[in-house]
Amino acid sequence: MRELKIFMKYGLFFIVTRRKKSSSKKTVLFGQIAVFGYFSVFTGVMMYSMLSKLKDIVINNMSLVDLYALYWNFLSGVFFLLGVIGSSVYVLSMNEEVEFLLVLPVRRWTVTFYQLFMAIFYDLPVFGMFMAVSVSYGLILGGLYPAIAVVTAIVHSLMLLTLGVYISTFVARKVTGSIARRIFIFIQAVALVGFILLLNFSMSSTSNDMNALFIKLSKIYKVLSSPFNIFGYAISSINKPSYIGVSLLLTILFGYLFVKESGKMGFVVVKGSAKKKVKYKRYARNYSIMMKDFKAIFRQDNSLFLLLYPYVFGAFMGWSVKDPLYALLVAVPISSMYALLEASQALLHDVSNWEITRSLPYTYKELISYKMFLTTGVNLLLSLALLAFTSFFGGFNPKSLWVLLIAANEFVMATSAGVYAVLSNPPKTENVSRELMKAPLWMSFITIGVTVGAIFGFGTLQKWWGLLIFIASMTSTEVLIGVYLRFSKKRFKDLIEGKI
Amino acid sequence: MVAVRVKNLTKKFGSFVAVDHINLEVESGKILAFLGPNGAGKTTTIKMLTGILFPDGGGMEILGVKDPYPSKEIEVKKRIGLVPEEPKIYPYFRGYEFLNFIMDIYECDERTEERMEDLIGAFNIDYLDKFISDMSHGMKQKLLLVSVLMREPEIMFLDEPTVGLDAKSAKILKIFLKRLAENGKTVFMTTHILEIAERMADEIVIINKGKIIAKGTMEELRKQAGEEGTLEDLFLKLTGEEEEVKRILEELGK
Repeated sequence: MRELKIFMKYGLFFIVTRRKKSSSKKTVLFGQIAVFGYFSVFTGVMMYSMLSKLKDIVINNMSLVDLYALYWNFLSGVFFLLGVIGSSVYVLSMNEEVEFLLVLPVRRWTVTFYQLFMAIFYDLPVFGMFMAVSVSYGLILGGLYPAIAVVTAIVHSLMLLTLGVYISTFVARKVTGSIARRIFIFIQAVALVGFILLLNFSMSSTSNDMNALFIKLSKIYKVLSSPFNIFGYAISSINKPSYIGVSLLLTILFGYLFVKESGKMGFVVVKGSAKKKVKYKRYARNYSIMMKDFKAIFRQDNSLFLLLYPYVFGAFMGWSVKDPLYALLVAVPISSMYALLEASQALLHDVSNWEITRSLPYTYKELISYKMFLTTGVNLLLSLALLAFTSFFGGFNPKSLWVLLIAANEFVMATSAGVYAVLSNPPKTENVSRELMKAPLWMSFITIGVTVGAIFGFGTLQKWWGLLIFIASMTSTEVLIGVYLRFSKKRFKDLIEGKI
Repeated sequence: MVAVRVKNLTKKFGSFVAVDHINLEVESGKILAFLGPNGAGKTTTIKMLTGILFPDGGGMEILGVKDPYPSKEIEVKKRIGLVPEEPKIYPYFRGYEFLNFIMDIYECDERTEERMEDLIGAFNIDYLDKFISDMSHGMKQKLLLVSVLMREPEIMFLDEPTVGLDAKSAKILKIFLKRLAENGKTVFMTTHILEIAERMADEIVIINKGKIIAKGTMEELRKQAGEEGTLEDLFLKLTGEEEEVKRILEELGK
């Protein structure tokens, strides 16, 4: 434990040193706690208000409160586990920090545990959601139940945590870093599909065929309340305390397996990919630069999620109301915020490897333009695909083409914001995912705000205030593009002059 | 022909002067060893000469192009090569994709590809299908060296090129650099392994606290230091670290 304590101290220090000088250890810690608090309160309020509306409704001896609490507990539990596995598998591959830690006279499981803790530290928001669901349910039941709900939530999150770290350690021992990353991507894809399927269940409550809906809900309730649904234990065990015992036993079992597995952790590439005969294909210089940026955007751990999530979500929403315009209205604001992150990610790689980037014969314009072009282009293509898909069900609405034009403009603004975000705060580490989290929040808010304004304004053009919102948003978009690009160039100059 | 000419080159970071009005010239076809203690200004100088950092004062001439950065940087960058101190390369590339990218961006000819194949064999690089993120320090270092050496640029800036290399690869690199210099290419190299500098360099420059404190051939350095001995002895004497080493050894003895 002493070793771990020292590591924790070192770890928190490490986070601080990676940030701006003005940050303190307390700021970082409180920052994470604030994010945790925000997610907990936000989900808690939302859950409580939803459950209060359902609390007196009982169908076929099934309480809708139980069903919804179980459903959201299952959802947040799955996301918590996937988040833990996703972040953990990645940090358990060899990196500079691990190399250093392995030199120290400490046991391997301590290094493994420490690495996992550092990764999971950033999964606090999902944990907050998990807690909020249980506590809201406890509050609805009243009496001592809120306190019991806190205990069950902690016990079950511990169980999911030990399961998650055990799976991560097991996987990381067997695979290379790149395969770990693919697993991470696969998990994200599964989460995405799962999310949509579960959303389908939520949305089906609007269906007119009540009888079919009740049968469906009964079936879902049966699955969710089953003793094999360990993701729902935080709710199930409030009424069935024996589940707490099962949870504790599982926690001990997974914990034991984790310690056993982590003691053998190699942190090295166990199975290298088979040696293949490589083939060189020559391309034109500009095409090659573009392909480099293409790989930087698409070979990122979270690229699949960032690119597809808004459109899958939009497709589902558009499909449920049979309106392609509505699908675009939902998808474009989310994807514009993600376009900011996609462009940032691509540039982060260049700035993290600054010496090699600067030694190559390409200009500032070439450095940023392909990233902006690709991110905008791919998002536009996906918007077009979304339009085609939803038009198939809901009929073509010519207004949608105008939305595509607006979207293109917003994507350019978002990508220029992404470029500026990186150049104004160059990365201090090679951990792109961690660096990405440092993108200023105000920039994301402005991006999504302006995009929503433009899209909403376009949808209400017939009203004077709609027209005003539209004009203001579009003007802001153009001004922001200009400002971001201008300041990006200045920051780039500062970077090569060694001022930042 | 002078490959690198530097006049009063200066770089400041706030109030700290990293490189302080240095002057030097490197003839084409020569190997220059640029030595100095940690934090002396070696890497900052290389960064300025390769256009990564802009100087705050003074000027430079690279391959006859006066003050090439930023106005003529593409032209000059195509004629030079850099192996940085830290082999940091884009992690999302596979090894062969990185080399392919380098050939494309420098618009290399078929002969470069042939040289690349030879170098891959010489350095025993059998991991080209791996992602760079999965490569060790030494693996990345060899990949970077191949990416520069295959182009045979007119000047090679090598910042600690042997760090992370196995003995065989280090030996091959040294022989290769010698041959390239014999063929008129210029090597501007930093190293902390003074034996390498002593054996390979035509000229040695020692920088300390941002200032050049000695330069010349081994013989000229011996004259400047006023003593015979290895480069290590001369280096310690010229940087004023000889007395400090003696004092520390005495302290440790106690």
